[in-house]
Amino acid sequence: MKKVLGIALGVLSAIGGFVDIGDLVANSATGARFDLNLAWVVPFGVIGIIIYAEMSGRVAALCQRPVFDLVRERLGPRFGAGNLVASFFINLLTLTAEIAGVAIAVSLLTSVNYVLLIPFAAVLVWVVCWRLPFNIMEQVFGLMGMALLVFVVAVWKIGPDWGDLASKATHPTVPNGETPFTYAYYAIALFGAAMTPYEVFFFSSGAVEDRWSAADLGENKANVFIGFPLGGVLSLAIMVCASLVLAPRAIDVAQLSQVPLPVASAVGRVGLAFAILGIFAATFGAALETSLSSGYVVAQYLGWPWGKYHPPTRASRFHVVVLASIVVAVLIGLTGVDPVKVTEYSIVLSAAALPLTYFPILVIANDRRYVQDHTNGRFLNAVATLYLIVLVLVAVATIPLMIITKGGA
Amino acid sequence: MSTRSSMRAILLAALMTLVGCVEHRVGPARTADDYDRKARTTASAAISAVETVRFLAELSSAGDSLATFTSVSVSEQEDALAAIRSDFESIQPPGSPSDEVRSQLVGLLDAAVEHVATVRIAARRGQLGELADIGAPLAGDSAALNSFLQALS
Amino acid sequence: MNTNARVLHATLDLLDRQLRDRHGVLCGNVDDLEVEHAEDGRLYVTHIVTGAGALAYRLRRRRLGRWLNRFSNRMADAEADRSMIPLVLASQIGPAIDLAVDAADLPTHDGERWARVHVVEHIPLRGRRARD
Repeated sequence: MKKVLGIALGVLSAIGGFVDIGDLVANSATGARFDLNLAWVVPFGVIGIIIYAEMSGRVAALCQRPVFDLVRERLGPRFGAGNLVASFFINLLTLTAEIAGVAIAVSLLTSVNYVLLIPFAAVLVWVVCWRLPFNIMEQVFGLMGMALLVFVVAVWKIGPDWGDLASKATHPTVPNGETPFTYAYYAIALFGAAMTPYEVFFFSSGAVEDRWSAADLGENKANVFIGFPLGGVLSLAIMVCASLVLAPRAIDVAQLSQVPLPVASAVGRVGLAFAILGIFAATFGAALETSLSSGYVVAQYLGWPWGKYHPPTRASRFHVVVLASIVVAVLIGLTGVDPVKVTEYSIVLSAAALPLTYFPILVIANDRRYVQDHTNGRFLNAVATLYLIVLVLVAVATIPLMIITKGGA
Repeated sequence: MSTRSSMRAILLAALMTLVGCVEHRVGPARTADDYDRKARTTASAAISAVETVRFLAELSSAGDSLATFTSVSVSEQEDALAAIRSDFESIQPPGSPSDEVRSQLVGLLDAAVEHVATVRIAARRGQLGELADIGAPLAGDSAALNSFLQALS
Repeated sequence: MNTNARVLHATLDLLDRQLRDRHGVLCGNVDDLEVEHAEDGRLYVTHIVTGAGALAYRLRRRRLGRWLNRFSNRMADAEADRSMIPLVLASQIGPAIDLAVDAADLPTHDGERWARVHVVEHIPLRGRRARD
């Protein structure tokens, strides 16, 4: 019974923790602008993150070593160094966006200008990071993130023509007024929002933090195979809401505060309150994950002691890096950069950088010296290699598309 | 892939990102067509902001919104609209046919900003039940911007 | 011939591995290896080299590497080069390499000590666990 409860908790945390500011912005903006013509990207991205996270979790559980540690060992310090710099920078951008998201969620309930709330949000994030034990942190914010289910409720309350929705989603086209380039750009953005690299650094380091072993592989699979698809359903609900409510009014999502509008209209003030709570939990949880991830990647590459399970005096450099990342993110946020723009850039660049971390994991998950008998099966390898090809194509196409579409304008 | 070239690529990406985050939405316009295109982008963005405020006002009057959410969101849209207007006004029109486009659009934007400000003031004063009425002129602004957009296509 | 092949394989299996001290504390990676030609013409690994300086040197930032190394040795007032660990001290060579030394004696831990003394110990709310 306790085991079932533990698994249930893990699954719920995975669902609630799936969505972050990237998913909120990407799904809402895409729904408002492209209707359901990009809906197919969500399941495609969910399958990708399932493969990615399952492999990382398995590797971490079987050899007690997380992603970055193994990247350097298996692929060399030069590749690892380039990987580290890219991942750290993108992580920092994501952290900036998430902290801004927390500040915006709080400002929507308190009327204080969100820029003033950024330092406050950052202090809160850091205090939780510093003090709350790892698994409690995951569970609390994961469960709170379930408040976003209100988007599913909103769709149900609007009562759309399901047949119509289904047919629109399964027959994607480039809508009038858009070019194939903007279509591709937003597809990449959605994809990057679903397959965030920090999720994997966090997930694999977390497996070591939670001291997973071969016995926990089943739980890993449950979290990943049940939690993530349901998280994908949440993302789709956000997109459908935007397409049903925002698109007909010609509203484009340029501010985070526009995202919960469909919920307010369909479910009322209570729904709106839940939506804002969900946004707070999603961005706060993601801020925790990204700030810890910045510590993980640096410490793991350089072989430092790392992890929340150590008292801070035993992993001082790790905690200093986490603190420094939060400080830098705050400074960037305080310059007044548009949080939605920062979010868009962070997800697009995440998508472009995916091969760097995906490829090593794919290699290691097939290496008996690390995973013993639990290597990838033939089917998994076929699908995973297909995804690798897609990721490389995405990586190559991203910067040109960013230039051609002028950042998705 | 040597560290040096990968570092350069990363620095380039970093620079582009930061530039992208702080640059203006619109750059200079060299031809009349270019200017028209920027006018269309501006009009679309303005319609989005105006419609958002209309929506917020309707939700507020129907009791479907929260007081703080309404006032913060309306303020955000007001700031966005003001930025859209000033971005457009700062573009140098390339020739006299574009001057006509400019004066038309600027006029529409001025009206929109004014009406959105009225809604914001009322929202901050707590007149949440009457926001839909106070925001009634926004429907006209939106329609006018739409006609402008159609005429320019 | 056989011994040579084993040594080379050991190089691949030694480089970039995680190092652990005698208490199991993570203390850096194998950043480089010091090899020596013996009289019989074979190559033997004599030392494990670890530290930011060693890593920089291996990543072709030679001058930076040498400077970092000198800097860290001078900071610790060390006579010998602390980044060189004789291979005899490596007890377990597997997924990680266990060393029969204390992390505190290695250059990689200088940064850890600095961070602890100058940053972490000044931060409040460390709680009971941290006071050990």
